[in-house]
Amino acid sequence: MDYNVPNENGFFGEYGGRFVPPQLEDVMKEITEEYFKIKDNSDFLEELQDLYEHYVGRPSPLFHAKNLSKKYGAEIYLKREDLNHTGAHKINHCLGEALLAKKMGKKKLIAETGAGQHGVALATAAALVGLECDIYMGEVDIAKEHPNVIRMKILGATVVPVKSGLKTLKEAVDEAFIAYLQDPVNQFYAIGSVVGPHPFPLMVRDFQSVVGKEAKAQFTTMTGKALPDNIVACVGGGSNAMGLFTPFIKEKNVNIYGVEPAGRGFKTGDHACTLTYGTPGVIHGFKCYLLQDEEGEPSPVYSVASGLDYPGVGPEHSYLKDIGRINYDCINDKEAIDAFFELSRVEGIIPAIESAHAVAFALKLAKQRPGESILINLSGRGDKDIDFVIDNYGKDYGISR
Amino acid sequence: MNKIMTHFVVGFPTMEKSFAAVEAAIEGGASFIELQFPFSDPTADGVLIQDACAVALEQGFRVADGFDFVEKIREKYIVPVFVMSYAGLVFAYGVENFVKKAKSSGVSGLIVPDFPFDYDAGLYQACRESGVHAVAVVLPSIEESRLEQILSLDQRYIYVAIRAGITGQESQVSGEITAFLQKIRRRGKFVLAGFGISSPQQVAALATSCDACVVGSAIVKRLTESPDSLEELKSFVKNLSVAG
Repeated sequence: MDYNVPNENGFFGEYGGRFVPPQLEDVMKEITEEYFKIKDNSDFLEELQDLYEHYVGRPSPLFHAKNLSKKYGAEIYLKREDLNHTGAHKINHCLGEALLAKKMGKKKLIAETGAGQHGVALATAAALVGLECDIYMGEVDIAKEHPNVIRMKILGATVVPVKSGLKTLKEAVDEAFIAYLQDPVNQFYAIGSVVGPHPFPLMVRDFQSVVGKEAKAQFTTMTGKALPDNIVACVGGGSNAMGLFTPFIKEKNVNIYGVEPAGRGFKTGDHACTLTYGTPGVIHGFKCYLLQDEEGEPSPVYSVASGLDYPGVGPEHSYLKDIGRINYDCINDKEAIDAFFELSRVEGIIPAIESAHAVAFALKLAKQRPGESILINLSGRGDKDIDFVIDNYGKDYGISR
Repeated sequence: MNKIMTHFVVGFPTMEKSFAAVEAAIEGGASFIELQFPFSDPTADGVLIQDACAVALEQGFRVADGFDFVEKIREKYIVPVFVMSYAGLVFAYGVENFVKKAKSSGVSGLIVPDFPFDYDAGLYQACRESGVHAVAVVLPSIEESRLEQILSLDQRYIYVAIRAGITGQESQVSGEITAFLQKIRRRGKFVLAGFGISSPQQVAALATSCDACVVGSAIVKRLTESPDSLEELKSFVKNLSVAG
């Protein structure tokens, strides 16, 4: 198996690439060249390392969730990305991208956001390094993720409401791309996941891989064992998953699970299980598994988790699925919300609904694999979700405002 | 002396009306017809064309309808038809199949801006094999070395977007632009110049530096505002075509 991907053209097997109109060709080449120039540069790495430690609060802890372990029968470990500054893993790549943009002389960072986590992280990074910031967000998500919208505004970013289509993540990406095309010279499109044209899937993965590197070392220190038996992460675009998985891909004895959102069912429009039900296609400048109709139109997607409802997925995930290295499974809204409350009440940790998908799957896995270790990427915290959860699910769990 | 290529979104405002609009343009003197097969993510287009694509898709546009549309034009008129669309749509159809179907429907050339020659999923090869022109889109800001690669591609047509950004905003025709167009023309290419061209003055300014001016958003705008004013559309095209 070839795990040394992507190739120099940005292909992970047949996936990835750079399918962009000529307006973006030059700037994508420029970003690629600049990224390769700095990625191993000691000044850049020192600067990033310093920010990770003193600004983000890295390394994030690895927590042995003993209550859950006892209750479900496997040894469950949580990589606490929820404890990062801004509350999720997104800050890891946003700082990297912001530093790169600044070095390239860009004036403004722009991006899409679903749950608002990437938007908040980017607005934070923009404030820190001194760049303007525009965040494109679907109106549906703006209503659902109100606290994050306010945070972005407080941080000085402009939140641009997206009114087209389903008014969620896919449309936000469309709008951000169009804005980017208007002025690729002064703007830097800091894509929010391991998606988009080359070099973004590679670059975001590299910045996020700090999660897996830390987790690997922490697990060994904590348990005396070389490797966990199983690792689990949720997959929307797939950035937190690639961050955790990357340092474990070559470790054959580690079972790797990516968890997709099954939403409210398996009919088109009710879920976003791209790897499970999609077919190869092209979206937003790259090739990947895609939920689409036979004409290539991206299908409507849905998940209770705004950060997971995207019809495409990272090209590397697409490749790793095809070569059989990663198992992809699905968790529906109900299971995710159950896990949201379970983790809150058993361990005192309120997870993001996105991350709750990974927890739900891990709890199922625990019952099937008693005694084994399961390491979950708890990619974000649930503060942003509490109003939504109470309003929509509170009564099922005996609580109200 | 240059010619006019008029751009339409197939199925906008309706199938029938877009066909009638193409006929009006041909009668007005359009020498080339560019047909956009609508896709939900038209990445190089401004709001006008995006909205037009959305309308056509809502009414159920299918790729098969697009090719039928081409056949209908070709049955009735002697006019070269170029099909423009985006990578997602072409890829889903199957690149080779799309090119073959284009050929059998009477399409002269394909313009797929997000399939550049080095990330084309096999489009250029398929076009060479089928005898359909693959039209590269370039900007005047293109790197010299990349332009050389494109010029050596053995393709007759080159589409020059005369400014950066997206379609539908008025462009100034500068000396820099005309020099760039002439440079490509001197290399024996047939140069289509587009993006933000809507007036006879612009067409006249480009008269000696390109082979055809592409008028897109200006036509879509007319069809958006007054979808039934075909006589006016015809005289709009006529005014453009005599300006060149």
